[in-house]
Amino acid sequence: MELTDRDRAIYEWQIWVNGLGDAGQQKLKNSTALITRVGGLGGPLAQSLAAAGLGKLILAHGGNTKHSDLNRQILQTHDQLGKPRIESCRRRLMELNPQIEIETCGENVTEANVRGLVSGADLVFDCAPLFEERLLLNRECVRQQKPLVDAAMFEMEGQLTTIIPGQTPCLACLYPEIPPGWKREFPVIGAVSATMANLAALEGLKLLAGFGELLTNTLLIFDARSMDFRKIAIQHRPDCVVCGSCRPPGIQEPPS
Amino acid sequence: MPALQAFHDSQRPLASIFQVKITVQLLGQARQLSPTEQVILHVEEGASVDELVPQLLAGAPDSLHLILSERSNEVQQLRRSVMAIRNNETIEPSARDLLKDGDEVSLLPPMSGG
Ligand SMILES: [Zn+2]
Repeated sequence: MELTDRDRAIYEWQIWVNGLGDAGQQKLKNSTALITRVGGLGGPLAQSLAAAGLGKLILAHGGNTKHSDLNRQILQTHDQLGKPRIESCRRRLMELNPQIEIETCGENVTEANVRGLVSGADLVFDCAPLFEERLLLNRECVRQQKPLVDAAMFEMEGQLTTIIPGQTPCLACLYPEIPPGWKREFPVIGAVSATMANLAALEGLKLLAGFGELLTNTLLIFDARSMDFRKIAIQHRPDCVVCGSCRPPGIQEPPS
Repeated sequence: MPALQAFHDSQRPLASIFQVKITVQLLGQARQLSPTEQVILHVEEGASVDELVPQLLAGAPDSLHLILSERSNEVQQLRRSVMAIRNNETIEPSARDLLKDGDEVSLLPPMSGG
C-alpha cells in the first residue's frame, strides 16, 4: 500500500526524521507487529507503534482489569475494572489511531496459540511477566525466523535486546533456565516500564523502516536510579537448546 | 551490605601479590534482595566468576543464595540463569584466568515484563 496524502499529513513530522522518510513510513504502514501482553511494557509500546502508523498490531493479553494494573497499564481505565483488558487496549488504540488495523487475542501466549500469533507478524515484541511465556515466544520466533525485540524491567532497572534468529543470541542463550523464586508480582513504577517500552518501540521502528543501528548482539541495561545506560556485548551459547548452532539448516519453517 | 563487606574485609589475608581486587555489582532482583549494591572481593589471581560465589555470598541472606547460586558436585557456583558481565561483556562463569585486577563483575538475574 502506498502512502496517501492523509498519511503524509498525519506522519509529516516523523517523515522529517533522517533515514525514516516517505519510504520508511510506507514500510511501517505495510508492517505487522505482535505484542504479547499489553500491560506496563506492552501498553505504552503499542501506543507508540500505533501513533507512529504501524499498519497492523496483533495484541495478546488475557485477564480482566484490576486496580493494581492502573499504575502502569496505561491502556486500562477505571471504567474498565473487572472487564477484559484486551477490550480496553483495542478501544484506546483505536481512539488514538483509527487508521491502523488491530487484531486482538484475549489470551496470553500459550503452546496452543503461539504458532498462529507469531506467523502473522513481521516483528514480535516480548512484554510478558512470566519466563515460561517469554521462552515459549523466543522458541517460536527462532523456529519461524522472526525478529524479536525483548524488553524487560525490574524495579528501577530495565533491559532490552533485539534478537534476529541466525544472527544474534536468542533469549535462551542469555537465560537458559527459568530463575527460581520468580514472583508474578514485582516492584514497578509505570515510568520505568514505559521507558523500556518506548526504547523497544524505537528498536522496532528502526528495524521495520530500515534505519539506525539495532541492539543486536547487545544488551542495553538502564538504571533509573543513576540514569546510567550500559551496552553489554552478548554472546550466542553454542549449547543453546533453542537456537543450537543457530544456523538455518537446523531450523525449519513450521508447516502452514 | 555493610555487614557483609566487613565480614569480607576481616577475612582478607595480608596483601598478597597473587590476589586481585574485583568489584561485584548486583543487578535486578539480586540488587533488591541485597542491602548493598556492590561488594569488593580480594580473590586469588586467575579465579573464575564461579569461584567468587562462595566468598560473595558468605553471610548473605538465603533469598540471595537462591537467586544467585546453585550447587554442582557439592561446589557452590553461579546459577545458570544468572548472566555474568565483566566490564561491558558477558563472561563464561566457569572460565579461569579472565578476571584482572580492578575488574568490575556484574551479576544479572533475569528480568521480565512490567
Ligand atoms: Zn539461543
